[in-house]
Amino acid sequence: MVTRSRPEKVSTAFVKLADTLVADYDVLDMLHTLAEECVDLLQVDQVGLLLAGPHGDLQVVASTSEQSELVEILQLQAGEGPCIECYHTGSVVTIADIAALDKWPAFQQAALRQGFASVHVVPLRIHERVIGAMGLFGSATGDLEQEDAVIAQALASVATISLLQERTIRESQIVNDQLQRALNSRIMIEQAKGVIAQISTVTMDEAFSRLRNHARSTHQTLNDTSQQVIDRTLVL
Amino acid sequence: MLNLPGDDDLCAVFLTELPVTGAAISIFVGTANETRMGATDDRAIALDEAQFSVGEGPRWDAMRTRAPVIVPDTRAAHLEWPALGTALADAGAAAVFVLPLIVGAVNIGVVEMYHTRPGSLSAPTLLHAQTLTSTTSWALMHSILDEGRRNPGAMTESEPLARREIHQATGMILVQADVSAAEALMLLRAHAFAHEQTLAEAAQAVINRSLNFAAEPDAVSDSAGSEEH
Repeated sequence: MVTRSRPEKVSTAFVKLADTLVADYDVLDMLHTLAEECVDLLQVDQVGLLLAGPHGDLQVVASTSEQSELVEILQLQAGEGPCIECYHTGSVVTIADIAALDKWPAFQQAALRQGFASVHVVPLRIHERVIGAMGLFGSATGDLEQEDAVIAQALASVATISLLQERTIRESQIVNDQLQRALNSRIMIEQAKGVIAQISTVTMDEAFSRLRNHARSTHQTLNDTSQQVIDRTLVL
Repeated sequence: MLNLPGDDDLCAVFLTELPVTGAAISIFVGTANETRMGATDDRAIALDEAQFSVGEGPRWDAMRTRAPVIVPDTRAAHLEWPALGTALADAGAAAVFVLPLIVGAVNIGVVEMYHTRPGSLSAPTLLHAQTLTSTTSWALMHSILDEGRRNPGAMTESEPLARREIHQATGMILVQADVSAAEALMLLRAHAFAHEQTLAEAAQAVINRSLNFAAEPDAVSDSAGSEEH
């Protein structure tokens, strides 16, 4: 097994994300890459990304696991919890010991039940505008190392820029449009996962990896691939 | 008519925000197959009706392609839609802009706008129109999913659209019942209402494969919400 140094891994992760900045890249694939890279690089076990919808409600757009447990916690958080707080304040939220929390009882209960002991949330922010949040969940208690926190924020910033494409960030209209496209794509993907799960009798996790593998190997976006699956011109 | 909140207000925002003379919104999901939601004026309604009666025109193209259809000069409309002929121009519209109302793969309806002067929409204006349309789509979808709720207090579900299981179940049901995504979602909604479940609960049952909407006699009556599963 080839062991790479930390700086090597970090720079590889940034290159990977930067690769998504080329024309007609797939936003959702990029967000999944971000989540996976964070688990790889930082001392965390699961990562979830949430973007704000048209009414300011947070929606899960990418996560390292499609397992319902993580998504459930993230969805729950959309109502109350560290992610929504991070989104509203625009500041990092660190919970070193979830068991010791004296607020957000629903979040606390759900997170502990799933074996999460700590969470670190960084805002997805461009200038003064917060467009979402990234939650890093750990099975051990303790603050994120300072270095890890810096890397997490830097990865989140690169992802935000690629999500909104730098040249357009000053136009709030385009920001809204991009956000809504991403959220719509996410719904399309979930619907396509359902179609695959039904036709091929597989789990949602397996359905997603079939979708993603096909999109990548045919150089299509997840959104377009999902559309074909839903139209049933493509069977995965 | 669906009893959804703010129907005409939904149209008014297009008039305030965009360089158009009038707007109408039609939705195709809910209790009726085809229901006009609201319009800013009678001409907007007439334009929709002219296309509806002949079964062709920009509103149908926008629905089918799930993309905006821009008609900068209605005097040339007969070239593309012979049956429609000069009906749009006769109704007093010089330009027509139709945008689909969609959430994921679910087709909700269309926004039809017109101007009394010919001309297209600039790229930024079209982008703005699409954002408005998207916001309207989400608001409508929330209302549609809420509509007909028997026991509102007991089944309040904040942000049902944010719940993945609802969309996953929609995908499964559209295969089971061989229907569109919109119809699949309505089947799920009907079941949830009939069984006093939240949409998320009904969706989870579909994902767990304990609830199925396959087109069998019992499943059909189930979709009408009249039978225990």
